[in-house]
Amino acid sequence: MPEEKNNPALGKPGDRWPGKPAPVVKTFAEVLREAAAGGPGRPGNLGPGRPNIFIGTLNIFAAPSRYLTSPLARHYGERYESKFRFAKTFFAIDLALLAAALVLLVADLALFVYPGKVRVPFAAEIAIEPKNPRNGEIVSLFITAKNYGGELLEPRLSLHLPETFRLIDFPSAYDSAANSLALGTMPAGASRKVAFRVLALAPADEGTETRANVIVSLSGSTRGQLAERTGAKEIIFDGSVFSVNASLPPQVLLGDEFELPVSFKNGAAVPLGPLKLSVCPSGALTLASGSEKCIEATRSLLGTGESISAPAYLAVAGDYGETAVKLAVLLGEGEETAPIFGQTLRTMVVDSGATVTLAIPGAIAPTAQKGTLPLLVGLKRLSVGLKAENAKIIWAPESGEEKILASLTSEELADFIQKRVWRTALALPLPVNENGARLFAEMSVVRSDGERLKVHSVPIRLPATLKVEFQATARYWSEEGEQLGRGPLPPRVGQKTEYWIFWNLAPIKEDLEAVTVSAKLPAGVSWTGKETSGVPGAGPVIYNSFNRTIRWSVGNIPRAAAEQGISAAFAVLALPGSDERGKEMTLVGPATVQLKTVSGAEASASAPSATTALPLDARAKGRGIVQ
Amino acid sequence: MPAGKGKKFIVFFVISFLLVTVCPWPAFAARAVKTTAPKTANFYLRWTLSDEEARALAKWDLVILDMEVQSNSPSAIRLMRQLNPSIVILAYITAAEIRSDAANLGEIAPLRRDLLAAIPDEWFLTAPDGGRRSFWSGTWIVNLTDRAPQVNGQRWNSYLPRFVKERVLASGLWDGVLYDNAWENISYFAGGPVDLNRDGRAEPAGDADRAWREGLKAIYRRTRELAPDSLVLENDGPLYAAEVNGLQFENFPNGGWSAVLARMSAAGREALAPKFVLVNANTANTGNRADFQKMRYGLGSAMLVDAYYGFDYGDQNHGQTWWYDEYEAALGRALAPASRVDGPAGKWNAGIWRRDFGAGLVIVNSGAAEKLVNLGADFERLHGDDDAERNDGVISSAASLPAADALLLLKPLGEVRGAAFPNGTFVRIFDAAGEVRRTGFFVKSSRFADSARLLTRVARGENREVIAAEGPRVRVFDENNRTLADFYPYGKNFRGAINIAAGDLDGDGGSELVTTEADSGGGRVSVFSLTGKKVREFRTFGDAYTGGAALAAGDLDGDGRAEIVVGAGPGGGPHLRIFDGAGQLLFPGFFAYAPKFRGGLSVAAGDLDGDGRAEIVVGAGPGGGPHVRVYNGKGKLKSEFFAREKTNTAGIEVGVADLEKDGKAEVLVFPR
Repeated sequence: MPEEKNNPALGKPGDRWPGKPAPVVKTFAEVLREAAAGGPGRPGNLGPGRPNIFIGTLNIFAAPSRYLTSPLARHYGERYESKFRFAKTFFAIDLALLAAALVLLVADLALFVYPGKVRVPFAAEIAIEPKNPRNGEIVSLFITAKNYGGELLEPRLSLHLPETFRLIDFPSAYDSAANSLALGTMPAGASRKVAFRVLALAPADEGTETRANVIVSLSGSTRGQLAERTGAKEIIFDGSVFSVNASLPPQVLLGDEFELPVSFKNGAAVPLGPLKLSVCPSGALTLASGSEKCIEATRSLLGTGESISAPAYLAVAGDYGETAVKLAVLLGEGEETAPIFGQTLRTMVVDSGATVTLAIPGAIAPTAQKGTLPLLVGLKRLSVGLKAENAKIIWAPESGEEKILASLTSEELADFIQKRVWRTALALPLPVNENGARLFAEMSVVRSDGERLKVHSVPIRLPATLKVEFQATARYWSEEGEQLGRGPLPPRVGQKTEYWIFWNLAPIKEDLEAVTVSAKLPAGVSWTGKETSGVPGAGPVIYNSFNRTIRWSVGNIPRAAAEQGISAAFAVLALPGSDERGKEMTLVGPATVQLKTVSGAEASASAPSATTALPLDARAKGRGIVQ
Repeated sequence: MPAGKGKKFIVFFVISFLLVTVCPWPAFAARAVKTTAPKTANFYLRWTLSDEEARALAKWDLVILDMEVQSNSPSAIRLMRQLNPSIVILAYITAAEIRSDAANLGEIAPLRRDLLAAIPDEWFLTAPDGGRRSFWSGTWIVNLTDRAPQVNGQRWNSYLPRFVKERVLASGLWDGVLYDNAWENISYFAGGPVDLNRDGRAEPAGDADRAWREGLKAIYRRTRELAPDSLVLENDGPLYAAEVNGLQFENFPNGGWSAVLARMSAAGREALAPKFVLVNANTANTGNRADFQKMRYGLGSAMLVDAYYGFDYGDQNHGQTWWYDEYEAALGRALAPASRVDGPAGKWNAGIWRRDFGAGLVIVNSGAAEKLVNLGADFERLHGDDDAERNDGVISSAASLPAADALLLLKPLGEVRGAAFPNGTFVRIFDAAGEVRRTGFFVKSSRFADSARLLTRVARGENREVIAAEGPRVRVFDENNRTLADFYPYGKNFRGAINIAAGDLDGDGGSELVTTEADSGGGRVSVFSLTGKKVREFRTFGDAYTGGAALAAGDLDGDGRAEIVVGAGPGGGPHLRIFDGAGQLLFPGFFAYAPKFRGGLSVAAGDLDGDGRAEIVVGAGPGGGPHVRVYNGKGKLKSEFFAREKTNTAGIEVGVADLEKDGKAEVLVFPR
């Protein structure tokens, strides 16, 4: 940089601290002497005071040649030169030791890398066919025993198979109980070949290579020394003759319950047994029964081509994410049980999103009368992830009342049972407006991933408190003064007087599914057969003479018609007896109306008996006493 | 049979046959004698008639007018006949008296003037001293006996019949004549001895009376001979019943009830056919029209013997048009002779008498005390304002009847014929003026569902087909309940009500069925035969109209073919239109109510006043009050009324039918 060169303030190149005195460069020995003398200190110090490592380090960069001496020189200098008169001797010894260590190290490394051939007297080798058998396949083991040394006396061969291998065929001289095969004296250089056939069974997880080691040991005496040599052969399985028919859907929803049919087919060439098939869900999957961890099926002997099944009813009750079902087939029993087949079925537990449904079966029938009504809440499906925090069920009628049915802690959630039912009760009628209320269940949960979720059930509509105004009136004259009745008025003993009875329901702002009105005729009053109703298409008012009941039923009344009011009328004939003289006579007993709306609400009302008093009949008032 | 006698028989038979077939008999076919009760008569002796009086008098079945009306008010007589084609109008003339001032009454009483001018002195009845005899002040008695001197070869008893024939009946305005002065004797009415033959000597009373009676008979006989097509009646002379077509019994019950009824009954037997027995009761010249009991007593008594009845001021003034509720009670034909219910009948013994008619009964208490009468069944009292306490429409099986009183009662109605109605409703019955005509009742046929629309067609007074519209289905049944038609005018899936009407649209004597959708369809009218075959279809309102319609069928112009009246249904304005049976618009229509009203109309058509032309009756639908309006066939409002409490806005349906079978239909109102 020209400016740098020509800038006298920067000093000459190499001067890093212009204006400051140049550092004093000292040798190491000088530093030591100064330090021993309590001088300025360590190298790097510019003057009296404590040594400054930072500055000293910097000094190394400033004048590296003054500080970077050979390590040996420094070692000699630090350790011997100033302290011993035999410094050189000891230094030489150190150097020799160091050299020897280095030589040994090198030699060891060399031996490690290049081990020398070790000469052994005999050995056994194993060859297999097929080279990469399938699990469950019959494998031939060809064992060759070789004698490299002197005569080998009483050579014996032992075969060590994995637990799951089953010996199928072996030389006749093989003592299976002792696991010993005498080969006969083997002269030097002799070899013997024997063959075994085994059922190679090995647990295999899907997609991973399964290996098993077959070991053969050969023992014998040579030169008076008993020796034993082993040989091993690793069998790498490729595939399996067994098959399991089981599959999980790629995704399941929390709260799902489903059946997982599992069947294991024995594809081996030989029957197997005792056999146990186990299905063990893990993670988010559990057995729906909840009480067991695994489901098992056993078979004492599973023939070739036969299958064993263990259908599992699983429930998805755990966290989101991957979950699995482990299938295992175990052969043997007791301590000799070993897995011969294994498979892990995997699936993902996913969020159902907004498809959580809560259903409220049963009918709610608020009435005009006070009372309580049990309300059933059936949870058909829970598809919400439940996490460690609480899960709440909240009833939320639009009146604002809330009903907390359950508040489950994480511990409780661990034992959460599907289709749990909560019961509660509501005090009726609910204070709702004329448009009615909607009742629905709301579940709030906190998922394992921290997301908060609120889901609502399909709401059911609570109709407005049904005001059922029902009136049963008797008339002799109509409102317009037309004569409806017949016969003497006031009624007379022994003479018949006909009255008309009117059943009137005040307008109802609902679609009505059914309306039924009934009443009884008292003694002394008979049915005339004259009846009518004001509802188009309605059936007649019917009288059952057997039980003296008058009944009128009509269904499917649309709101437009119900808002006009519903009415029926019929005529009865009163024949007062002498007992009724001087009194008012009952014409029709108390009437009861029951109605049901299309929305499912039910209501009822009643009206008192209609008598000859005819309180609403202005023209007949005061003419109700039987004469 | 011997040959000679056989020949005689044949001759006798042939002569009889000729006599029966050739000889003229009195032809009274043009004048049908009323056979239903009550029969009303008015003794109206004013010499002039206004049109207003004529209209009032036209309501009576028989009217007696002074003969001078033919000169003074001939148009009134014609108007009466026009308004009441079946009315019987008799000319009043005195048989034995003449006003002494008749010569001065030429302008107002030309017939009397001419009569007086034609009576020579010799024909006046005189005392032996020649002084003219007089019974009624201002009148002279004329000698009608054969002993009177002849003048120009004739006497009064031959001149008068010829005068009646040539000067009265010849006008063509009269159905006959009623001769007053049917005295059974002259010795009483002359007030003294009489000289019949002008010999200066008085005849003995008995002799004079006999001669007098023969003279009267001669007048009646000669009048009948000269005018065989005319009725000859006389006033209060039961002795002469066999010589005339009937007589009037004045001042009922003159001589006692039993005696009068006996005489009336005898006169009814003895009179010449066609027989007219008239009863005139009055207020005894007090003018108390409201003496309803007296009026009823006379009417009821007259009904016991099939007599015509009138009630007026008295013998000093026969000139009232007093009309009573009882006159409109359509009781129909008598079912049996009258009978006494509380004792032996004897010769019309006083007591409780009863006579049953097709549509009711009459009870008369001619006894001395009030009695409770058990009627044996429910009967309905009349609806009326004259005697509201009596005519209150109450239906009862017993009635309390004071002495000298009578009661007309009707059989309660129970079915609706001739008008469409919704099954299972209560029907109210009004006249055209909105007065309650009959006590309402529940009408329901158990064969059909409530609110099905039913129509029982009536022809010539007999039930014919029953037409039922239930939902989308229309069925027609004959009088024996056999199904004539069963079809779905608008398809089986039609969801709504169907309005129905029936009428003779083409004048062939049969009927067609007309339907329309009540709540939709845009006023489309469909015409079917009664067997369900579709004849035609046409729209009645503009294409933009999609609502329903109400309809009726009626002969609005009296041409023998029914027109179709269509009213817009709910949602449309209160528009009413008239079409002929072919669907041609006859009258663009009018708004039956305020144009803003959207509740729809109910329409009906029928002859409310018996003039042969139907009126249109309209009712307001939901949202409107129970407002009924009556229009003529040209849309002119004739009357209107509220059928229920005005504040009731449920709406009404209307119908028109002659439930009483009296030729005048009633307005039926069905509350919604």
